[in-house]
Amino acid sequence: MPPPSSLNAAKVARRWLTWLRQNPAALIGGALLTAFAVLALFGPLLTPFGIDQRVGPVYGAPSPAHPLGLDDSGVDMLSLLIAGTRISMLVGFAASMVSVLVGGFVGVTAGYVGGWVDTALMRITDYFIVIPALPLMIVVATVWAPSVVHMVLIIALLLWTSTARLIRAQVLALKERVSVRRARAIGAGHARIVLRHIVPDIVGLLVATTVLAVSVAVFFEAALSFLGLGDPATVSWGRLIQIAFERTAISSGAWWAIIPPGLCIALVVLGSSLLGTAIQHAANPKAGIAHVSSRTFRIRPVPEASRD
Amino acid sequence: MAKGSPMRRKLLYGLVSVALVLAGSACTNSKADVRSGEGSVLRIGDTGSTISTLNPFLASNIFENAVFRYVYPYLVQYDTSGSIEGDFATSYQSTEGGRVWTFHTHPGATWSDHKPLTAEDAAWTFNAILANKDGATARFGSYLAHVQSVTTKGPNELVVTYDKPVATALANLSVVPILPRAVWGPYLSGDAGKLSGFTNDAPLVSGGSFILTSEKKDAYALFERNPSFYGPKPKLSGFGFQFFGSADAMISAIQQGQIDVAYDVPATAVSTLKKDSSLHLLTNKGTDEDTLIFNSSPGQTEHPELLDPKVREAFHLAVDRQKMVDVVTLGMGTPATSIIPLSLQNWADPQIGAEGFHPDKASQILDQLGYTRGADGVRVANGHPMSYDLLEPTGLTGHDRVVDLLRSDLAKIGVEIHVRVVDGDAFGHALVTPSPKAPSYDLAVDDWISRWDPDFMLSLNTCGQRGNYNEAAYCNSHYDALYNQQSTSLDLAQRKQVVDEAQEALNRDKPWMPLFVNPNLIAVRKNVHGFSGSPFVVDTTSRHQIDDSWLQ
Amino acid sequence: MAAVVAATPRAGTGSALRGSVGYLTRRLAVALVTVVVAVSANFLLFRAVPGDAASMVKVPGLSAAERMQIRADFGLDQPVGSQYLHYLGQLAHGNLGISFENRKPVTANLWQAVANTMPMVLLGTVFALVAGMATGLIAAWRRGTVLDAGGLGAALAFYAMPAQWLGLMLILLAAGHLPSGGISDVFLTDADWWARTADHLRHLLLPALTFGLASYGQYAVIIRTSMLETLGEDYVLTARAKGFSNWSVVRRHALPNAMLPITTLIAMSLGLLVSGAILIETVFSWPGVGLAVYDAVKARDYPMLEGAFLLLTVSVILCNLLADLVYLRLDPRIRSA
Repeated sequence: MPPPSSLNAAKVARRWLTWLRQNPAALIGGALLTAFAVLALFGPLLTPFGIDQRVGPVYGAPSPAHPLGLDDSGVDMLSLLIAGTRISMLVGFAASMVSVLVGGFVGVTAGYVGGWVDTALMRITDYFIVIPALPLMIVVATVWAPSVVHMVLIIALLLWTSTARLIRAQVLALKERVSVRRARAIGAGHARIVLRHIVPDIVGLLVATTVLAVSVAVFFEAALSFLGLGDPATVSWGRLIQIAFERTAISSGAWWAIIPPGLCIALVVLGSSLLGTAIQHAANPKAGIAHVSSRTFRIRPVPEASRD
Repeated sequence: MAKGSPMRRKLLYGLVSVALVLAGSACTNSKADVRSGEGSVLRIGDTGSTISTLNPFLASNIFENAVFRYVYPYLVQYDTSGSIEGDFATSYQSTEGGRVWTFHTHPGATWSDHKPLTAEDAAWTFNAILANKDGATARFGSYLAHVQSVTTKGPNELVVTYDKPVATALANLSVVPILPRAVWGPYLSGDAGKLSGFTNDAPLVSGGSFILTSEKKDAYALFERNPSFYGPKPKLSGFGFQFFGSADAMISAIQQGQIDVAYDVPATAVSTLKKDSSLHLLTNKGTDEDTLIFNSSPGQTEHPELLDPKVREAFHLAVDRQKMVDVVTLGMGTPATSIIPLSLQNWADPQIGAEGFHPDKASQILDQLGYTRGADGVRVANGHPMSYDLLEPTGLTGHDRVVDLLRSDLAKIGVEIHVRVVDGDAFGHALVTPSPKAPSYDLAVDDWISRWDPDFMLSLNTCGQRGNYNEAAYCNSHYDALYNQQSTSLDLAQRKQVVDEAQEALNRDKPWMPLFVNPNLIAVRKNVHGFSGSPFVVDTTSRHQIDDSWLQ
Repeated sequence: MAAVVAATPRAGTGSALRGSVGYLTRRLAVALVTVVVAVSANFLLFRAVPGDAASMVKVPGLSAAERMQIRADFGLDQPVGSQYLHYLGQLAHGNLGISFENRKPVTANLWQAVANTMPMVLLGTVFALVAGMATGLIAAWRRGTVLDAGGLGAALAFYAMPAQWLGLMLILLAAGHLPSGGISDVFLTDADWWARTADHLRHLLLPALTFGLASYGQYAVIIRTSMLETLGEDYVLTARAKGFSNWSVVRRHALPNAMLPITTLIAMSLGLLVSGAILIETVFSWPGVGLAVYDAVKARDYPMLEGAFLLLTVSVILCNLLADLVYLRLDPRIRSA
């Protein structure tokens, strides 16, 4: 499917919608992400009870009034879950966008400018790739006071590398295109070339990477919160799992305090993986299979695409 | 499918056997052999505590103190009802109005390495502590306050002379371990410069009822009965502590029979454990008190409003302690307003600090001080928002919930709290850097376990404990005077009065703001006999808890 | 492997050899540079962290003079440049310093931690490979059917679950029949070898299963794709026309082709496993590398952290190099690049 360089928004939208219809994985992924995004946006209006409001006993069992039961301070779990959607999705999207912006910038610069700039940037990228991600995040998070902003930055700090490599590979290929060479021959400025000829062709890849990065970011947020490094004042899915673990939900038999938050994380991760992979296929069918290696916290294409 | 090559078949058999082994091991009875009668090992689990050091001069955790209690001889100890009795000292008396104490120690005792254990060891230990009581041995120096001299009359008689009669003499001597000179000599001689570097690793030369045979940090400590013990021989042949990283794992372990006793059972697990017919649940009104600590040193220059007793009073009135008790301890604990918990009935006074829960009054106080709320609801004081850093140690009893409730209660009166969770050791450190006299934090939460005698808890806020246990770096000469007075008041009624006054003084200044007391919940398997719960998490006041137990 | 070589044409031997040596040297050089960068960045990272390392030595009541002594002992009063050289010198001797926490050498602590993590991760990887291969094979073989969608869906679903949550779920499911914490029963000191091994295995089962479930998804996807690609090749058609059974075709052609991406994946994953291991080790209180790192961070045990980071970074670099080597060996297409 050709990248959307046409300026007719309606036509573009129609094309994407057709594509969605034909691509069940993308449809499922898109639906999941949209559902959670809506929940995140309208969360405060939808919570049946306040998240500071004790409505029953500690670890109260699910009942018609409280379908997901109560947590360890007697607060309605469903309300907590909806409130947590906001922070988790916010961190997920923000971190992913920051990381893609940074990674995209690095990738374009390295690929376009080439030479020692390229080598230097790539060596830096290499270092960030090999450094153990979660431990580094833990070190930074421990030293830095916990807050949502800090968490976004910490996650983005390590997420940008895969984008950088992907974009760089793409830019290297695009640089040799006839249209680009012609523009250079005419004497067009670099910024103009980049903006007019290169960026439009990597938009698809950028979008795909952003969506894929959401899954990794949400994963990381859950991991950092579980280790006690999240902002204690905010409710997120990761924090709900942490509290359940610390307050012996298992020994109390309170499965409703454990299952829902993790399920939400899994659904968002699944959704963004499906959608992101599908977009990447569409944007660049020849790039081979990219799969989100969330376990190892990298977006990893098959080795060819990342070779320099 | 294919009939398969030989290699495939081997692989298949390999996989099948591995699967069988795993399945078989999953079904194997996991109980360690419980040998009844004379030879049996009591397995104890705990969560939230750990043994970081085996050096008594560096120790602060209650399980570390438990190790020392069973391994080292003590002159005296408490019995199960809170009265002093002899341990290494078979009898003791005081003369000159309580100024001179004479102890008669067990004759013919030996250490586990067969070297003689006599009153001279006690004298040597106490004198070594006294020699550096303001330096390397400060941790025990305070327990020997007012001691003028320690001498022996022969191998079985120890004489401790004070400069004035001290009411807490026996209580304080009950926590000073007698150390083997053969091991500790080089570290306690001279200025004891090498003392802080001595890790005192297991196996330990022991004079107590058990020998520490092996220990691994954050994992376990294993003990064997000491055949050379001078006192009544324990029925158990050994015991061990196992430290669990999570309470769920510990509860699962006791339910599966992997351990026999579980300390620090969280309140949330009580209903599950009550349904388990193989377990008893011992419940006690405990003495483990969670407190809010204010940086009370002159180093608190960034947020001087926190030094104002009126502001602290506002905090005091704003906290819903009953809600904490309900949420954190499921109603099994008690609200606390003084550092002497109510379970110490002889010394506690429920009136002290009982101003109640009045958030509106709290707000009023802050309004009257002119700390108006900003646009975000946070008050402004002295030109800055009332937004403070609160340090929380990992392993705090009640965990994050305590701090969550604190934060939301204070938010209601316009004070914002930023929580920083710090490792237990690093927490202790943060409270004394950059200097013991001027720590750099605003607020902290910690939990402290009292002792039978109120002297210990009262000592924590004395000037002399700064850099040691005085977490607020509070120093007030009036309070110090009261503390000294109560420790030297021999008349019980008079002493009680002074103890009340000391608590009142602390309540006025509030370097510490008590929150609530955790219940002491211990799960014990039904085949364990003679095991008594205690108001302390693990009873470090005497050997009785384990020495008197046996397994069926 | 034989099938791959036979199926693709060999390049000219001379240029292939030169090509592969050139490739190898380049990758080696890159790896070395990265190691140097990692070592230096490691050093700087833990000097840049606020809070004087000496202030974190956990001894209450230290006098100012004693603190100065400790700073001198750890070389913290030297200028940064000479500290760096000293650090490099110590590294060359394999000395990673002394842990602040338990005063034992960092190398010994790390060694113990790695020895604890390895069985869990290895068993988990075995689980993942077996499950991944089974799912991938079946999905590719029965492409387009419910088995395909279902198998792949399940694989992706498990892959999407956070490892710590998966661990908690397994503990819930095990309903108290398996130990949910620790590496072994510490009280089995007198028991015989069989009882102790069985005990270790019982403790190992849930964490390894969590690790396996959490990571099998990627193997399933790769096997499936690789199988689909291979099954569409001409020589497979030829083989089946010749009368080879389905399974023998899979075994002789499709599986070996899938080995390439699988092996590189394993090599790269081993290098990066710590992230997942931290979470699982925290849930199960497993005293491995992950938990060691986490505890070291909380306790501000800088020597331990420095050593752990170095170990992890270098092992990732080595494993990536290994993956490159494997790739070189198995895929002749890049030899002439």
